[in-house]
Amino acid sequence: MVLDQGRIRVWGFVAVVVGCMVFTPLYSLVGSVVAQEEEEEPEKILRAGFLQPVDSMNPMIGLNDASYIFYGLIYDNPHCIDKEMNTEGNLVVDTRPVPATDPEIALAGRPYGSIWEYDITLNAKWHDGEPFTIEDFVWNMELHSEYYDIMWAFQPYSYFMEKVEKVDEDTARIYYFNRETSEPMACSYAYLLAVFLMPRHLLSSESASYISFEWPGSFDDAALPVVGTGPFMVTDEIEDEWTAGDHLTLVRNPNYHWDEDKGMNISFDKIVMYFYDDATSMRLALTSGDLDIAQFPPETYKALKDGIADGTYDNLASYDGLKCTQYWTEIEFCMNEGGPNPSRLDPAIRQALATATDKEYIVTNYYRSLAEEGTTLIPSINEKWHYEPTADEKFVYDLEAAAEMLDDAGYRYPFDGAELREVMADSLAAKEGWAPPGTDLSYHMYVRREYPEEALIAKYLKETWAQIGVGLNYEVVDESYMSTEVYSYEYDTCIWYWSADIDPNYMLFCQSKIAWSGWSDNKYYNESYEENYLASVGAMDEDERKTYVDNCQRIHYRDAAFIIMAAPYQTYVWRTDTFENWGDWDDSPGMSMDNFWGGNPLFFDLEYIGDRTQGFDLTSALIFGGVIAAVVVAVVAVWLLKKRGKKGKASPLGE
Amino acid sequence: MDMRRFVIKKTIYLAITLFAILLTNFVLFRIMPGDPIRAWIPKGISPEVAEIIRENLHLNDPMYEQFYYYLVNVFQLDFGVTSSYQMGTEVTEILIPRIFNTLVLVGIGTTIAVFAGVALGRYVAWRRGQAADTVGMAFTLTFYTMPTFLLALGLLILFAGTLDWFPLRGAYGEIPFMDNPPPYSQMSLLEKVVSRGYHIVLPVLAFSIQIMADFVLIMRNSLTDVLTEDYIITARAKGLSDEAVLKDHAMRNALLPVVTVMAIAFGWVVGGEIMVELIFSYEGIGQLTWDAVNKRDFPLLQALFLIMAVGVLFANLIADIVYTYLDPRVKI
Repeated sequence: MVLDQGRIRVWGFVAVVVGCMVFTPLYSLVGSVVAQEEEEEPEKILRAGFLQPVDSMNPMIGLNDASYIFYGLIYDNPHCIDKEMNTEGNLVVDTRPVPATDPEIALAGRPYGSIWEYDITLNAKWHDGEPFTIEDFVWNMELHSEYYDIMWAFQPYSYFMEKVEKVDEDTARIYYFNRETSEPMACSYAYLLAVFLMPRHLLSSESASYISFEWPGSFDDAALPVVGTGPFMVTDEIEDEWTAGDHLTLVRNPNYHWDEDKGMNISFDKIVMYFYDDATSMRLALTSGDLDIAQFPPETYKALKDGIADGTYDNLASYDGLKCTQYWTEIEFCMNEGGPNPSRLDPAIRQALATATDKEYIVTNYYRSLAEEGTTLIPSINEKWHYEPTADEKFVYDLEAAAEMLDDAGYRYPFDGAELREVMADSLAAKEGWAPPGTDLSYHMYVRREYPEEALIAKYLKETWAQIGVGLNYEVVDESYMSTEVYSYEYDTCIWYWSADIDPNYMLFCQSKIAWSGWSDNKYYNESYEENYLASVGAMDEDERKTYVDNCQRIHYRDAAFIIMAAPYQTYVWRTDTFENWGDWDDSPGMSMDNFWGGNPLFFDLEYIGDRTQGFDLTSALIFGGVIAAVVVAVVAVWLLKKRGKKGKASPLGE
Repeated sequence: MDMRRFVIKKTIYLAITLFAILLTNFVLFRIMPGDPIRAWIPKGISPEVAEIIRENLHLNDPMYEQFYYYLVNVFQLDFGVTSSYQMGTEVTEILIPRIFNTLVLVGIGTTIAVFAGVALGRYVAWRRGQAADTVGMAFTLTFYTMPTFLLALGLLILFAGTLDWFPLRGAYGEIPFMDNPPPYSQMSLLEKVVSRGYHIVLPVLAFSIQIMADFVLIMRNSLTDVLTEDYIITARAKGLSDEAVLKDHAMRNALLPVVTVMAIAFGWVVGGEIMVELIFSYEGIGQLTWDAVNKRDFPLLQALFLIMAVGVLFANLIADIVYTYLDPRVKI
């Protein structure tokens, strides 16, 4: 039989398709068998999903939670946070204030607590094999204290640092002072330095500015592209993976110093961080076994939680509760004398607005009950330092009371039927010259576009505050734009957030005057707050410090410069058939994935119990191949039959 | 005008348009509200430190100097470093692998969509009014009107989530039947091809079914019109076979709108595949555009917009040239 050119092409095409279909599974099967023969034991891999990519490999630049989790795996801090949210030594194994009898204290007249001694572990090594030494510790701390302005990322820790001195091969002293007066000063938070330590041997020739703003976080000529001392290490692939943006693979550090320091080891081989753009895809990945743990947005989380409750997902467990990072959201007022309507500087107005804000409604309707109402600067997850306002101090939602507060303070309606109140001559705003009499009580609010619930909250506030005669015009903007406006201190109000470590210093610092033009986003100032804040830093007695910290929180709360609305929950779901010992995150909040201060105890407890296989098994492969082959055969058969049958049919073009 | 002069003329027009695009691309991002340095560091930065960053980014230079540097850099394929997405990384470094991924996806997807769309359009047009036409049009309109994300999610849930036949995400990584595949860079060429093929099936399906529907509709309508033309009757009267009439006379003319749409499609192909890339977490320029827009990464966005604009320009140039081959009536 002689085939024409057309037929040869057709049959050639069919042969290629069938060939590919047969060859691909065969190749894969052979590959699978070979791979299984080569590898006696499958790798134990923890796969975590994230809805945001790591911002930067440089810990001075990256900001989001995924970035901090990444840094916390690779780098160590001098101190870390244990399961119960207590401070624990990490690279620094012993921390103590230099005794009052020490000559440097006694003879130099420095206050007790103004010099702290830090003993480092001698068991730690950088991932490239170099030993971690006291010189590393000294260089890192000096970098932050000496170049305080430039090393912006850890300013809440370094503001009070004066200098660092090596004592011996495993001990260094940090001297603390009041940066404003240059007077030595005790430093009560010095027991917790959550500052990621960088390799001196690779970075000491670089400028602080380069390290802080330009360094990509990796090295071209080092043994590994990223070098830390943490429990996990990068691979040579990290830069390719980083550029591809799909996932980041970290392998267990076999020489991690906790083995010798604490007798603690990680029992699995790798962590792979997978980055998703879509919550549904990530949910599918978790439910189908492609992920072991992930944090989900509220709606997806609720669906998964319901599925766990009704038995749909019997291999999953979920957790929602306060974040160990102490994240909360607030309505924030600019305390600088500028912006559209400075009448907001009168505390009576802010207090009235706090009284006219129903946090319970906000939590229920806009955070879908996956949050807790907020009150003061240190949230309730930090039981030790949280201050809960008393019944007398608390702003309880009451529109009538709020209206009365405004009446009493001199902000009244200009005539019956007026929609907005005005600044009257007897008000503080008029007396202080912040706003002339006749100024409407109407404010502008920035809201972040990236968080749709915040625009809904702003709409709710506009409607509610209107009921007491206060106008609100909100503008939804990008966070970067809002940041520009807020840090120019020329705004009325906005909805934003804060998070902090477990020591109260971090958050109190951010609302202190010493953080103006730096971390302070509203130029809040209250003389009494400042006094109590400085006293809290200087108080070496914990009970005494607690009094000052409480005072700060009370003063700040009553000033209502922030109306702290809610502390949104962490919403994690994990598999119970691949790993066990996830822990009880209520009893042990430090077990959360969000514990990014290095040496996360979760990873030391997790035990791999899975029998992981990827793709489908041989039976599935045969069924799959069979189905595809049947479809192809059917299509080809129909096509051939049609071709034969066509010859007898009438032409659509007519005869 | 001969073809050489035609191409030169078109290239000059293209250069002028390109300059206008570059100028717009430069100005657009500088008149947008907000301070770019806040994209780097949203909280906790003193004015002094902000000034250091501003100097590093040359934001204090006069506008014309910035534009000059921008042009020089663009022609050296230096788009600067990203400001928020993978902060501080060279934009080119991020773009190259993603452009490759997208070209693989869009290339395979468009090829399938064009060939299948034209074939199906031809099939139903030839059988207009018959059952095949009704069924074919119902099929086409269903996918034409279906949102991309819905189709993509459906495929993902069915074939990756439920049946577990294909991977849920990514452009490569897993290899079917292999428990612990090596990292991509250590795979053999064959393993890379298999891994990519395994990952691309669902994204390509989602992508190509959607745009295939466009081509079916265009081809069907175009061919239906052409088949009623006088020259078709003449050809038939000359005694040519159906196949010859269809292939040599009808199809050639009916393809003209398809070529036009293909050129225009280059622009919205990128828009359409954003959803596909997002849902399958496929690391291409669609996904990158989404991330860059969300993070207001201006250097990255500038580069992406430029690439898309240049892509559309060249696609139109090629379409113009192809047009002259397909339709001799088009004067060059």
